[in-house]
Amino acid sequence: MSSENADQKPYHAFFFHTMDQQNSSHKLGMWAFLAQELLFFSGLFMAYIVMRYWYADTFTEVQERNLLSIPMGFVNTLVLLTSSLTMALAVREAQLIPVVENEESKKHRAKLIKLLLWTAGLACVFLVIKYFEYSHKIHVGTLPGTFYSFAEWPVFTGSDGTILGAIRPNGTIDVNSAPHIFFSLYFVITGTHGLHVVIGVGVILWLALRAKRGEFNSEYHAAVENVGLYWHLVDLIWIFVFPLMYLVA
Amino acid sequence: MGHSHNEPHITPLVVYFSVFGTLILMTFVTVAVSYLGLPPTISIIVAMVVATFKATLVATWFMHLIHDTKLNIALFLAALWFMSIFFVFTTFDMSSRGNVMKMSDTFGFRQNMAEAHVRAGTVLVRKSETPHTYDVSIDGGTTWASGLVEPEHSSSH
Amino acid sequence: MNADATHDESNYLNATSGFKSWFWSVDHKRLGIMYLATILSFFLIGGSFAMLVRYELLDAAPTLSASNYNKAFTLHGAIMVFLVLVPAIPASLGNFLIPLMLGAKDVAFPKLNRLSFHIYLFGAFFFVTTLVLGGVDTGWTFYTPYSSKYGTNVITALSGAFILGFSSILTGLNFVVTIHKMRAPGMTWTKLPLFLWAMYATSLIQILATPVIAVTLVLLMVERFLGIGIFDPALGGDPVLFQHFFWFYSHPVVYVMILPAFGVISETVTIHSRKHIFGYTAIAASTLSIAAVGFLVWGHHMFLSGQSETMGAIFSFITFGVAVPTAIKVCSWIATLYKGKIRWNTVMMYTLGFLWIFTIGGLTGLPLATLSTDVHLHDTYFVVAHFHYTMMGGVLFALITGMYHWWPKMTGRMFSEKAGVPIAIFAFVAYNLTFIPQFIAGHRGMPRRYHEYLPQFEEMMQLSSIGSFLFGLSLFCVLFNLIHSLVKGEKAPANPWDGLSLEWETATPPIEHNFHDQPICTVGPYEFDDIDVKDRVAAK
Repeated sequence: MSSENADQKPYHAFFFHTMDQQNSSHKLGMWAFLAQELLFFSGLFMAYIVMRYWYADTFTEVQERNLLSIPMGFVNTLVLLTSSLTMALAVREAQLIPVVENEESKKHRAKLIKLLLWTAGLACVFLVIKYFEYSHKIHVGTLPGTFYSFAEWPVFTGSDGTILGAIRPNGTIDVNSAPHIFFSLYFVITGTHGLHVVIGVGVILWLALRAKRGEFNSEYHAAVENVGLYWHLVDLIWIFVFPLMYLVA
Repeated sequence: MGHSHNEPHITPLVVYFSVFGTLILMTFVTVAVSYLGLPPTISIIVAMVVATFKATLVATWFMHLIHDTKLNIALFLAALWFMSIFFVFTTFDMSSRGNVMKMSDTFGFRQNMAEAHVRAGTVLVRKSETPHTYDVSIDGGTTWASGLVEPEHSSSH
Repeated sequence: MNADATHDESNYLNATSGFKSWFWSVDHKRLGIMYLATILSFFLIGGSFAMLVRYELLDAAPTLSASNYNKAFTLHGAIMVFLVLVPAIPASLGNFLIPLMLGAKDVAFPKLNRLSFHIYLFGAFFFVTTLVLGGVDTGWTFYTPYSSKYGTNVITALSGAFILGFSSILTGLNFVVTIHKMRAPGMTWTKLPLFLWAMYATSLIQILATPVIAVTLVLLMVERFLGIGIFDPALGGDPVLFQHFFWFYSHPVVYVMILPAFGVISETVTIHSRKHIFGYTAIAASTLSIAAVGFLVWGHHMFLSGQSETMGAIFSFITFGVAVPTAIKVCSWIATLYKGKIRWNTVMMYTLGFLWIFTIGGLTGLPLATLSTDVHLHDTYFVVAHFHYTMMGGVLFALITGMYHWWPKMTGRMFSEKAGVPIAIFAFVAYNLTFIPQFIAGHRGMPRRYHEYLPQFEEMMQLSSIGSFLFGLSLFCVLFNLIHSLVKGEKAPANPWDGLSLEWETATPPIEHNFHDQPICTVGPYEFDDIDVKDRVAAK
């Protein structure tokens, strides 16, 4: 090993020349990761667009029948936006921690931990509300695809398992109506998003733990920033999911 | 690696709180608009404009894209660009099917399936009073509605 | 280079030893070697299924049952695509060479790099499970509704492909950051070796396209478990939508396979003809434009799927656009060879073989991109031969080119040129014997994926089968040639080919962290004309 690395700080990896290079690499890596996240979700939105294009009336009818709870979706949006704010503030605190340990670094680190815990807590609130929404849907039977069994808006399933469309009150089948597909989309999209929230809670708590161990300062906080970016992306996706699923009739 | 700049850019608290305030306000706006009962197309456009505005705020201020390198911004925009190609091309395919040759799409398939049920006797179809349309029933013929399934071999019923 | 840095010093191969020191290594060089070994092992498995397919097609009457034949070609395709071709060059040669060529001590995220490898092994485990459970028969394309309702062991195969996708994404992410942030002082973008340009474009595709196959496979699994009805027409969905999803990834991914191959050839064609590469900027730019335009053409796999004719015409038109940057590359390589001091060695043989094979593969793509001719050629052996000429011939010949070219650097041993050259010629002849008859049979109407066929195709199918057996044999000869060098080969000098890129400046095999001192990039990687290489090396 050459001696130039001897005086490097423990968090400065030997294969980077400067902390600047290390930090900007970590950030670029995170943006590349976010790019792939966007493309991953694009598939779900693609399915939404195509199904909506075909079954436009179904989407309107879901709205008219009030099958998704707007208040719950609305509160969840507020919760997630607030958690995004606390996360942004947490990143700010991390930026303010002086490199040389002193009273001020302790103060900012304590704030950082508090804000991270708030973020994780709000994420859990989001998940609890989601749980109530899901359990209601499981109860009434507005479930995805072949599991769909909502009595007030039934679909006709042939003996071969084919779902032909919704059954109208007059006893006819409407092949242009597909509530079972709407709920497939609902569960797949919110489920995937929810999974991202769960993972988010995990990594935010991991950050809090590391902060408690005294890690992070204004020079070394790429992990906090990157988890922040991830969390804002989760928020950003919900900003689109909420109106597309709950509001747009 | 030549220049060394990166003292982290500290955004003032007031910026975070005003962005947050705008986001909350926009959420109220978008929900309020949904209760106005606008026609679906306009409703979608309004909702998407508001959502895009909110997303831009989050990306610009919370995700610090405003102070970020061109490279990171470019990567983000590239993802959006390829996403929109996926959306536009596929949607265009959906909307232009059958323009040149009539062909069987999913609806055609489902109508065929419905006809199979007609033949199997699980649904009943009769000629409607309106020309070229048919009435369908799945409850053994007590209730009928028109124009939903157009069978080929309904003569046996 | 320091005088003490040359001999009798520990290198990356012998610095530590034991299974654990390899399995848990974060050294990009060890990871590259482990990837290479794993990929070649799966190539052997995938290749065995190919031999089984060709054995079945030796005569018109069936030997295997139809369902076993379906499994054989599915496993051949799925293993070759997901486990071999996608990671073939990036994960093996890419991992080994990127930091060395950049003059860096490692990739930007060494632990992530190790994680990618372990994820790769985990995904491979699912494929092996699929094999053990009795295989899968949907074709590697997993088209719905067959894959969502019927088929065998679809779930394990889908999980495998899903997991391998993450390995690919993380590798791409790592390489993009490494190439952006860790170039040696003086290495501007115009001094970047073309292999790195190729790896850069490849990595971008991996990041931007692979997540779409991930979500596709997730939706397909959910479709199978819950019947969500998005891809299943019987439930109200659209199977053609599945094909859009699938090809949005799977077309760009053919550039993940072939762009690194272009990168390898760009290196070898210039070093072994002692001439500056012709059209450096044009090759670099065409690499990026292939990557970008590659995202716009996926619908040419779907001309006969029920996709709208209008969209088909648009896709066809854009597809022709891909031919332009590809032709720029091939022409530049040939112009590089022109009046060069060509070394007629093994590496050059495979390079020339690649040029021939890839040109045929590229040109036969044009009739397939044309709507009207594709109606006739779609799903025939013409398509099979076309994508083998590009994907398999192109990638495999480039991989072998790269393996020979960097073999001294990787292992510290020289291979036997005396055996290498005739083996290369043998492989080339056998390869063409395998696939040219398939073009002929295909354009006469022989359909793909059939386990029996009409007697008029028997001649061509037999020629093809014989060719494939010989080709298999030739690959074993390559393997023997390389392994023989490990035992009996001469010790390799640091720079056996007089190359100018930075990987030749370190010891052979490289030391653990690549360079003692930060190398500085002063000349471009291909300036053979301007500078006498021997003098320059001596002056150091």
